Amino acid sequence: MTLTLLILIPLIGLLAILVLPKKHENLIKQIALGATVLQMVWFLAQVLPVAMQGGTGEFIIEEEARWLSLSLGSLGSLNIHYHLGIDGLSLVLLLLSVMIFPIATLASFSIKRRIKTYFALILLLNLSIIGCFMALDFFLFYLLYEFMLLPMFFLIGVWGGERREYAAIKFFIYTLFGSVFMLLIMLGLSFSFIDPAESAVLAGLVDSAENATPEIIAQIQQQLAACQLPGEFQAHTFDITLMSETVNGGLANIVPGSIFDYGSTLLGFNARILAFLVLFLGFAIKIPVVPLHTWLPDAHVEAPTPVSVLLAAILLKVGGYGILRICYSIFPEGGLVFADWIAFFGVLSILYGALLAMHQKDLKALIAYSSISHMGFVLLGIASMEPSGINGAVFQMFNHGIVSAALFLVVGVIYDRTHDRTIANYSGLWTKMPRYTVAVLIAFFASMGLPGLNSFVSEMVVLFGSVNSAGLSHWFSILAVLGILFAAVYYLRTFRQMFFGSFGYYGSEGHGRALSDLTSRESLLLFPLCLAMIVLGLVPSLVLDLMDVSISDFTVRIGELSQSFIDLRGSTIPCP
Amino acid sequence: MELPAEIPSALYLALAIPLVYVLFFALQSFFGNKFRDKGDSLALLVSGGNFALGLTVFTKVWGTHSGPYNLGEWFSAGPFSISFTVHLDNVSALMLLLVTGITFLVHLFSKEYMKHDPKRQRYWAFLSLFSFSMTGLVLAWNLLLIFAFWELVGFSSYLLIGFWHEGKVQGSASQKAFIVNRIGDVGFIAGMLILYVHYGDLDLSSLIGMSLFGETPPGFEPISPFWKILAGLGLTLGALSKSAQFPLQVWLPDAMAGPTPVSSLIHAATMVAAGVYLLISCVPLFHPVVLDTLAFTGALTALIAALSALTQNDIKGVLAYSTISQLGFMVMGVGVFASEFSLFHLATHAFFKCGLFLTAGAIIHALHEAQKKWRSQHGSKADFDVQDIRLMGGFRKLMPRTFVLYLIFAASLAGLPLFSGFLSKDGLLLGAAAWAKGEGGLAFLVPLMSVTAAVLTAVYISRHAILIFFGEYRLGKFKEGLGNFAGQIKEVNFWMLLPLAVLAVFALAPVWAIQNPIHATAESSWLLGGIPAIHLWPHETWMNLFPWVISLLSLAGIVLTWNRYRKRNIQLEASPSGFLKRLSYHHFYFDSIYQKLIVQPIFAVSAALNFFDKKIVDGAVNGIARVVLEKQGGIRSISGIASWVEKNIVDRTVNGVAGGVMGLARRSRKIQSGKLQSYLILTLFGLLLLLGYLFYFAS
Repeated sequence: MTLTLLILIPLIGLLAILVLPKKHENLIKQIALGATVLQMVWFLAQVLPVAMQGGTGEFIIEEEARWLSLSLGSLGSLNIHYHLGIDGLSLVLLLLSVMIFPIATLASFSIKRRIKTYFALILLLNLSIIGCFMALDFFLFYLLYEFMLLPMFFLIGVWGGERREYAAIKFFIYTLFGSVFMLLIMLGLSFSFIDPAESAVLAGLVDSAENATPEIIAQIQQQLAACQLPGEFQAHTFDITLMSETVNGGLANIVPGSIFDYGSTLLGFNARILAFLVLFLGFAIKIPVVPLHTWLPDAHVEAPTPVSVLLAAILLKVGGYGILRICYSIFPEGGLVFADWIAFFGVLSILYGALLAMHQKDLKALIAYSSISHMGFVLLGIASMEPSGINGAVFQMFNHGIVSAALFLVVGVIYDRTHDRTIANYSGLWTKMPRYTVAVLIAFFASMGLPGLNSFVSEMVVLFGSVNSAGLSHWFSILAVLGILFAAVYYLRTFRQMFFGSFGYYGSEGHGRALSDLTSRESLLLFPLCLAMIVLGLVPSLVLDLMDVSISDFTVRIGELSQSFIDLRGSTIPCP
Repeated sequence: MELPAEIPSALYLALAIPLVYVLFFALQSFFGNKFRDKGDSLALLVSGGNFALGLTVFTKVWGTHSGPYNLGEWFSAGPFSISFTVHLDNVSALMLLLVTGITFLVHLFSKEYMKHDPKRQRYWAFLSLFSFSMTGLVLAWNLLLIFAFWELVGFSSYLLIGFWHEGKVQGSASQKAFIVNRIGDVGFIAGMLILYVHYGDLDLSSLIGMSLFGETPPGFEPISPFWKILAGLGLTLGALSKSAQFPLQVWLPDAMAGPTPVSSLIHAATMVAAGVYLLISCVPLFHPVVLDTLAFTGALTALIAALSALTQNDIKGVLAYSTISQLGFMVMGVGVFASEFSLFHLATHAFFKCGLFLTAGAIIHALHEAQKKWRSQHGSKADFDVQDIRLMGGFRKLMPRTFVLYLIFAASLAGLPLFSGFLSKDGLLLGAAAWAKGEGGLAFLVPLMSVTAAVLTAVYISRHAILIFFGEYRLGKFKEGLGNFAGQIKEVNFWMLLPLAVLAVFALAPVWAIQNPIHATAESSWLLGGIPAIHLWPHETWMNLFPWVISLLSLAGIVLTWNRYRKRNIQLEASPSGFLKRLSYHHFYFDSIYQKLIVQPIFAVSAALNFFDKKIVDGAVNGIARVVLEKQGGIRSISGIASWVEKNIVDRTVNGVAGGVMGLARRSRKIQSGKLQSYLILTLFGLLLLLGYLFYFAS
């Protein structure tokens, strides 16, 4: 129940909001905030301590229940499980999510229209994201992944700025484009893997899956590999852990000759490589990777502040998470085959995003492009398939979550006062808004990778991890360093324009007077984020140690698997 | 190696120094407004205490031998881990003493200088942040850790240059300093990456060990000359940016926009020396090609900066170019195997250049005070540029004590015998000459350029001195109604003169080499005796004469300058006439060239990419969307859908799920067929298809 409660808490909050009449606006806000705070407290009090003690298995906490089981006669059965679990990777992203959600919810208190629907959607978004980070069954993952689209679409499309409809539709179509392919892969996967315990039940070896001993499971797996497990005994599964389970360096539960057995081809290509590519495309849109990024600046510019916060801080991370949890777990050899290309697109995103950020006149667009640049480091780290690189990539996602949340809040502060985000319309804010200046200074320099603030460590770990990767050219990492230079250019130019010099506001008349320093609510939102940047910059091991072991294991496994696939490609004999 | 017993306690004391600074920074940042004037005394106390600590550490460590210490892990991620490795040897103890000492003197000076600044509590905080970073940099012995402090040094410099943020030039000056330093950082990081790939470590001791003995750890490929050169050039680029060397020297003259004590502490004595310090530490890692690059770059920088110092009219501008030029000597020294003299010159330069900046500060301060008095007495503003040396003259009589102290610093900078600059600079020039003799050919350009620069140093500093201190006070000549302004100028008080006097003591040669104040060797100078020399050139007879020849040339330069400027009619012009003078005044137009060749092209690329992104990448997306979707009629209004969802789904949840689902099914046909619905339905349809397929097989 520990993990399920993380989903149940926002769900209960959501139901409570739905039954409440619209007019209880304050109560609705309080329920939404209460639910996210309660979720955070539960996570910090119950999940994190257990997770930090570590478990013996790969997943530290797991919860599993049978959900759907379809008997397919001579084809065995198809099983969908409600399977949640966390390892270091999901732990870190969950920690980020439960910390950002209360902040975004509190920031939403200034929303004026359709309060009830808005907060209901926020909680819906919350439970699907949190669920997504825990789901270990592909079907469940897919469901929650798709579910995220809806609230996000409406949050941008209804509460957004001038061009909100265009931005929302663009966001929707882009992401849906990716997930349609994911659906296809899921169809193929449904008959490619078996659950040995359930198969043992079908075969009559045990009376229930829980009673299946390791010996029986090994026996089933041997029969399967030797083409001796008849179709009617094959209990097909969507379970990601079973899909990536290995025996003697090979997949333990793959059905020989199935679509995603190694050696299978699809349209003339190796089916597994193709699947990796297609899934990767879907997640790359989410990250987003250049050239699949154009939805992001539009979505950010149009979205209201709290939605931008959620989008940048958490939603983009689902892309990175999906690549690791789905693409690299199930089809790791794709990572090896495309390592150079993935690193190339990572570096391309870093440089392209940074160069475009230099040209932006709208502060929010600048930060959106800088997001693309900083998420490029994630891709570069992943491409290394090396423990440091992947550690760095996940830590970079975490840090980018904290920093981008602060950056979008900071934009929201002046937008709330003047409804103007044009950089050139401001000058000398340092004189007028000293506390605001401190927050901006910390957030900008964190994003620039100043040592002592969090992003420095993750960017360095990514660079040193990727340069040390056996498969990648050193030049990828060396070129990526230029991104750090460009970041200084666009942030410092903006900072000079807006904060140095004598105070002035050059937008529509009268709004300049509204430029007062941070309110206590705004300080309350920004303070924990700035504090987190400093603390994690000084003691990065607080987060790094949460995932180090998991990610080392993960890297070793995908390394072995991908190598065995490369060695075995095309040399297997399908069952008669 | 057996460690001497007193080292650990000295190490604790040494670590306390940055810790105290950073604690004071944190305290001052949070409670600075509450402290008010108490903050001034507290800042003085902290910097004084740290100076005492620095002195204690120095006396305990100097002359002993010790290795680096690993204080535990900072973080690790997979195989990549960074430890708090610190080293406390003669070099770092000397640097600690230097930094804490000068920081203390500058604090003393600043207390008077910044007395009337309402935001000075923030000033103390920033200064402490700087001293923290600088002392941390000196102690760190892991390249990434050094880099972390290196960046923080740059960050505090950014804050201090921009301290008077309301001003017109501070914003762009601080921005320029940070960005140019970031260019160097790219090199620094790239250098670290290359070293890490080949040695698997960033700890300087192991790097140096492996590099010297040509070892490669198991599982790594041996470093090829190409990568070794590239790594060295990367680190060099980092050092060149911080030490304001060609081609990255352009930020330092602008950095003078900060308060003058800051210029003296950060942009003359300590931070800019960090680059040289890094080079001295990393010398064993460098390929000969890198060392040659250093020799040429250093000598070239020394020369071009000295040429530019000849024509500057800003009291601090001359000193800024002078700093670049002097740092050039030090960088050259590393390249010609005379890095012990680089360190020596770093130390002597820190004192005399800090002193020169503070005397400039004293003059600026006296003029500001005089302007204030003038305003209160005459009711009108005395409006003129207090930093323009053409508007000065005759300060010999107006500020006689400052004048005497200034002369000591200037003589030391000019490298006159019996002053500290003579000892250290001549060591460097001699090194360059000896090195060139060994190398032959083009290498002679290095001593040629550096000797020329040394002679020019005497010329520009005597011009500086003559224009400020000699002749008559010229303000009245240029500004009407300010004829008797000189009457308002008062010598600065004891608290500003005291730090100057202390600095002046260290500008004298005997302090550095008591046995033989005209020739510094490992025997005659305690400092040279305490630091390891990489290479000692064989002593030849011409070397005895060499320093005297340079001193004679410098003296000749001083006499010529005296004759030229003593009786000269000074003109106020925006830019000097004559091509060569303009070239010098505008520092060879480096700024404009970089603007045209680098900055503008990058922004042009950025603009072109923006066009590409909006029109081509996004255009393609929109185009596809139009072709595919427009036939379906397009969406009318998302708000419409939203209110529909609100009414029919959100509200209906309460009324019962069944009714809601029926309603959804019924109504969904009636509403506008939009893109969104089509896609939602597509997804649902796909899912249904999947389920149906499964059920079909199930039956």
